[in-house]
Amino acid sequence: MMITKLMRGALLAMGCALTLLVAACGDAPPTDYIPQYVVQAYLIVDSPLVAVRITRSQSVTDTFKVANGAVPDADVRIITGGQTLPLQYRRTEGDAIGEYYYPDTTVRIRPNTQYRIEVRAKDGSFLTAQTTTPERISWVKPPFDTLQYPIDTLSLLSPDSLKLKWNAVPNMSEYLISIRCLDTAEYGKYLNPPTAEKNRRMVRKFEDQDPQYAEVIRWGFLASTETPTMWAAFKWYGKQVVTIYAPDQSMVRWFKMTNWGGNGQYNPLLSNVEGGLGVFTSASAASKEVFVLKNQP
Amino acid sequence: MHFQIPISIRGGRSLGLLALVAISLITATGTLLSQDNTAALNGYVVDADTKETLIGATVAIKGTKLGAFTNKSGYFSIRNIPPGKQTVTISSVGYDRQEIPINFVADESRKMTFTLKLGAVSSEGVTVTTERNVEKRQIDISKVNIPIAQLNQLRVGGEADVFRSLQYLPGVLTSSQISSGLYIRGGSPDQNLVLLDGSTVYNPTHLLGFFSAFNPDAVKDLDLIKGGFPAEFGGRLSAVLNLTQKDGNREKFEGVASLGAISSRLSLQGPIGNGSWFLGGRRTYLDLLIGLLPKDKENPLPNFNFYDLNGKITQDLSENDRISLTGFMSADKLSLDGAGLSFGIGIGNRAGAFRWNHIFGNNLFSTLNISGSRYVNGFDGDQSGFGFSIQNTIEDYTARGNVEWFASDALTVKAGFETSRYIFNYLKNFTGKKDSTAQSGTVTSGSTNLTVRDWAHAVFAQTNYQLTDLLSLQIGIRGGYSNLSNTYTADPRAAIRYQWQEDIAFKAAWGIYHQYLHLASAPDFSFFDTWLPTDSTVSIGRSDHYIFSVETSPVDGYDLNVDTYYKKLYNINEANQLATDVRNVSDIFFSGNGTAYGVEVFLQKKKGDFTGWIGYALGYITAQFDSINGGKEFRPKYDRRHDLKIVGQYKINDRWDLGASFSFQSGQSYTGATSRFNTALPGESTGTDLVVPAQRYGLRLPPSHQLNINANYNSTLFGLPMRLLIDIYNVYSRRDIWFRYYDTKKTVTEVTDVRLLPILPTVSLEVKF
Repeated sequence: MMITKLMRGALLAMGCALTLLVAACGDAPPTDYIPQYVVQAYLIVDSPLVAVRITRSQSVTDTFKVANGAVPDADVRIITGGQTLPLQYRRTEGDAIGEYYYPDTTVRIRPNTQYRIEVRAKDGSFLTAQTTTPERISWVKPPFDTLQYPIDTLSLLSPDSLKLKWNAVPNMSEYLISIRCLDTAEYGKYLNPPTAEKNRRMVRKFEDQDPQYAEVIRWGFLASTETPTMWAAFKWYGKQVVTIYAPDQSMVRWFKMTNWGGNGQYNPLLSNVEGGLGVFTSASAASKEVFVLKNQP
Repeated sequence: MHFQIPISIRGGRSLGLLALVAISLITATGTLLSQDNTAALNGYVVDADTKETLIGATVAIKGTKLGAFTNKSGYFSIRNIPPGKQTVTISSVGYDRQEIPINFVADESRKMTFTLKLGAVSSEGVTVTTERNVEKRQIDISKVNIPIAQLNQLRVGGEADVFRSLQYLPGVLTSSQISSGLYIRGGSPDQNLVLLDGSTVYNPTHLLGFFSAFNPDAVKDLDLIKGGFPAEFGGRLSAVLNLTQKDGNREKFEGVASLGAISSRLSLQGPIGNGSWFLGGRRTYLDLLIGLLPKDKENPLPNFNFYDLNGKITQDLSENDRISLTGFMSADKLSLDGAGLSFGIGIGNRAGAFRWNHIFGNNLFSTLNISGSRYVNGFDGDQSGFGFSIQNTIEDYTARGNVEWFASDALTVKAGFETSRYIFNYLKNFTGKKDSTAQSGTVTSGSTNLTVRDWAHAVFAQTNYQLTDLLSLQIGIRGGYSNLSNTYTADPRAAIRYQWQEDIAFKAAWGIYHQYLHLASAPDFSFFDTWLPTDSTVSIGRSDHYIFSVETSPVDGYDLNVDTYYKKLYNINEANQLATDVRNVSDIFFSGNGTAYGVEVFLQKKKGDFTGWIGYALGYITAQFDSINGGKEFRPKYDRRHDLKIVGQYKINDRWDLGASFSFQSGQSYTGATSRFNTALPGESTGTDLVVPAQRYGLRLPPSHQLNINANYNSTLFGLPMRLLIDIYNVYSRRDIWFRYYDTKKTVTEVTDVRLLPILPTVSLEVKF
């Protein structure tokens, strides 16, 4: 009786081992590729209707080239207030993808207005999305024309006098801010009197591995209508432009996905485009130029 | 008013079960009244050296089918004993069996305390008919009780850990090699009720979830019920982990000190008054070592420490009254203070409980437990003067009471209540100024301060009835009410056991379970757990369990259990991790449903020089959320098809113990990608490359497997008993994949794996005094 029971146990164990062997291999990454269209457009209040980008996704098994995703022949229209604005395509030097734009630059994005985009690709794909532009945003206390970067880089104190403030936009609790260096090469020529001194980058160890190390602009998220001047936000000294945005919620979600999202994966929940990928969004903006003085040569 | 009572069919079942409970009670009472001129025996079973009560010990009357197991307080009660000379047998795993002749007088109720000595000689292969008869009545479906001494042999990095040990049971999965979270039969860790001496503990983990917060030196007993748990437990959907702390040595003062690679422990215990006390603590010393190094703010080192503290005082006020005061504290703190950026992350648990056991007559055992628990996790930082913080707190004040009536040798009835006062607080400050937190109950620009207070009540009644020598029935019902959601719930539970042959029993269970609390948590880290109540924007979670089990003993000394289960889950949650504008619970969670089913095989040997187990589980889990994966069904990350665990411990001689554990699990699921595109915010030139996911968790990583070995050397140090613990974790250095992602830094997309721990040898020292 005991032997029979042991044999049954042994058979059970062998069956388990066989099952495990069969199930032992992991799955290889998928290779079936389905091309999809990507819309990317940020309508800025009081700005012309430009920089609407339509691209196509590329297979992960191919060498990724931005230019390979360009879509120059789509029918792109913006519908607002009963009016349809057909966009044209252009590609300037250095722009690998090209953009769709409305040629009449006197036509500006209006605040508190709904805009819808319709994209018809040559293969019959149809994409659409819409956004409602926010009210205008304006500075209450903009940054000073000139800022002295702290000498004590270990504490980087930011006194209240350097605080930035802006008006609260109705129905808005989340804002975005960007700081862009306008000239990474020159520094001294903007001084009075001018010098030959060149610009340089602020060296921070934690930025070495940042995938966006080469960008001249840095974006940030704020959930209030004021912020101290955050020195760590600047990448270079010299001429900068600080811009505060009151964004549509779709822009906030897109920012979160590209800046906070895990593992560089696209999250369809954070897109507002139907029939494809991407974002069609809007914001009002207020900018101020700033010059950041070096704390040492 | 909203009722969350199950649909009408189940409502009918609930009423039917209530009727069965009532009929059982009436029948039993009749049985009781009809059986006079018998004797009764009740009391405690304790360890002979420490007088610590023993849980799950068997007390039986030889030559009869009468007997009982000691309950969580070490108490037992046997009725209907024929008068005259009887032999009482007392036994417990790891202790020498005792047989005591007692002369019982008719209508006498005798109270006794039995002592058992730790086994000096292995009792391998002993089968005792008397104890078997008692075991045959225990339904205990899907319940695992591993001797705590065995669990403490399963060490990671030299650290024994309760949760880590449980991960070596079949059907208990983990999300990764570095997580102690328990995924049991398709349920996530928040669906497990974790009780420490009757008090609920929230997120009991250390070191980003690597260890549990339970000091193994302080734990006396541990039960894991993987499903189908009875009506006395509620408020969770999946499983119950019930831990009992040590009372302390009532005879003499003693202590254990342990020095390990990650932390050190000290536990002390001794007699006090008419009882005992216990105090145990554990702490890391990484922060102390870092503190000795010169500070470099340009290149700061993160500072990390954790500690936990357990304390208990027990006193016998009288022969029938015992009280205890229990305290538990744990904390983790990670901080970094660098140039222009400093932050701190902290989690902490504090819990205290008062317990009173009272014996009415000789067959009515009552327990009153009043506890308070506070769990907090928080994150705060400062970047160039911009301060920000997030903090979540849950306070739980609970009164639990139950009465256990040992009505007869065939009937035990248990009934009780539970009332909880919850206070949830969610604090978020992104204004830049740490002192500009919003007023309580408000949401302002950049600052949220939400406090939610709620009451939840429950009552339950359950009966264990032995219908015949071969057939036992457990039925119960639990009713609940939550004030905030204004919802009533009714949870019927039923279980049955049929002793088909001498060594083969069939068991089955069914039940409905509700969960009122929700947890938002990162899947791989147990650091930012946020507990929230059910409000008007989300529904109470619910699960239905169906379990069938075969229990047998294929060879003497070996127990074999085969469980099949099916579990349906409703209104389960996945956290919306990018939510920042939070006004309701539904802003934080996506809600959906799930299904889990499978089979588990568990072969265990508890006695002898060689002990251990083999467990195998085959399981399937699927989930469906309208807001995730386009509404299509997907398998969660922790769905692992095959799960094999082998654990063995061998006592070579008085000096040396050897042990090994091996685990094999199907690989975790991950989300593949087929295409890639570039996106840029205004002004960006290079932007960000994103991959487009395929079916959520549609692919599987290679299986994970590892072998650990341990050796204990017993000797003396300065005349004191000493153990040298040698562990090799991950012997063949198989570095499991933690997660796989698509690296788009280069033009060629690279599939990149982040791998976990390599081989980790450690040595620890433990001294008793």
